[in-house]
Amino acid sequence: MRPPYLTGQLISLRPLLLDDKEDAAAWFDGPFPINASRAETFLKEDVAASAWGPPERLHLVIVRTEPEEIVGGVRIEEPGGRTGEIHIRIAPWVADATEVRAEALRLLVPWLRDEVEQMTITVPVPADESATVAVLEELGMVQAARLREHVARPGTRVDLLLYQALNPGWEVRDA
Amino acid sequence: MRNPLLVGDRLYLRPLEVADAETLARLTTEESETQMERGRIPVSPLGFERWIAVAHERQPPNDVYFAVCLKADDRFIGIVNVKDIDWINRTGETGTGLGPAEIRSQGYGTEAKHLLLEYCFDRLHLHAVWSHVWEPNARSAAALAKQGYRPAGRLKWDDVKGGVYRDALLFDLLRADWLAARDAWRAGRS
Repeated sequence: MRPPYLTGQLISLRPLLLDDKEDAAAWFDGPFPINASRAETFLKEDVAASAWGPPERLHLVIVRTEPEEIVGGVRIEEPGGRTGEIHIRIAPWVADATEVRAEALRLLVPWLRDEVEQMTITVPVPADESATVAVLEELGMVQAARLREHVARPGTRVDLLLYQALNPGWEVRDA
Repeated sequence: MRNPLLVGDRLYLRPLEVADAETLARLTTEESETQMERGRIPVSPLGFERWIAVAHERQPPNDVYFAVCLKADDRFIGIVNVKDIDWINRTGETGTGLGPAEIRSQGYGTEAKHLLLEYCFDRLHLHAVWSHVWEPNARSAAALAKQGYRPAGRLKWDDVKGGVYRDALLFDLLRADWLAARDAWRAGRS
């Protein structure tokens, strides 16, 4: 079920399918183990909850083009709303996680801004992920906020940066 | 006091009970200061009953809501909360909602918030909390600053008021910030 859009050189993004329950550790956005049985419940209850209208929360899987395999997941908060927020999980065993995340962002941000016509798109990123920050800035996003010591790393903590893309297509009267 | 978890000089925090639903629905309907949000939307007590019941189902919870009550007469005057708790990174988003309007500007909000922050930092052992305030709500922004929160940035075009999109202001608070602010607050009262 490869979509005709949201497709790049390295990866494509597609909706979740029931068979994806077998690969939940790659796409499920959480720190705890999720087995196939629990993943099936999630797919049937959360993902299957909407059809025609956009869901409150959209889940996509990141599929590597060659060889075809699931290498991560995307969660978009409020995909049908005026503002959206992108969260990306890369499977812990993926060696080229930085490149996969970068291409996912290059597909998602323009899609949400230009096709879905969201007014703002927000992406949280830990401050030590400089390659991701560079991609966000390449996409025209600007740092909107910095939450201090927000992310735990082994033996230390780093700030969380919130990057925001503003859609120039909206005619906004600022305060 | 009824079922208190945290106790201050004039206030205490207790778990929300289903019986609080009617008061909560009334407080939201009576809210007179609409600069805080886009406007009032009447909500049935049935909605709050369900919300309170569901809020206590998950253990450990992602969101913790407390009823703020007066020690003198057990009157329920609002809520404080920490939500979207991240148990791995040990963070959460704090919030406050006190009413009706006549109980404001008496220091209850600050006292309730310090009790909530004691819960966040000394009981849950969170490392940092954050909060967001809609820009038109200048009083809440000032209250956060008084409680030790520091400005962290702004999210553009958060919501609309009077036909104009206004920003959300973000604040964060580390445990050390809170201890200093609490000491200053206590010194100011003595």
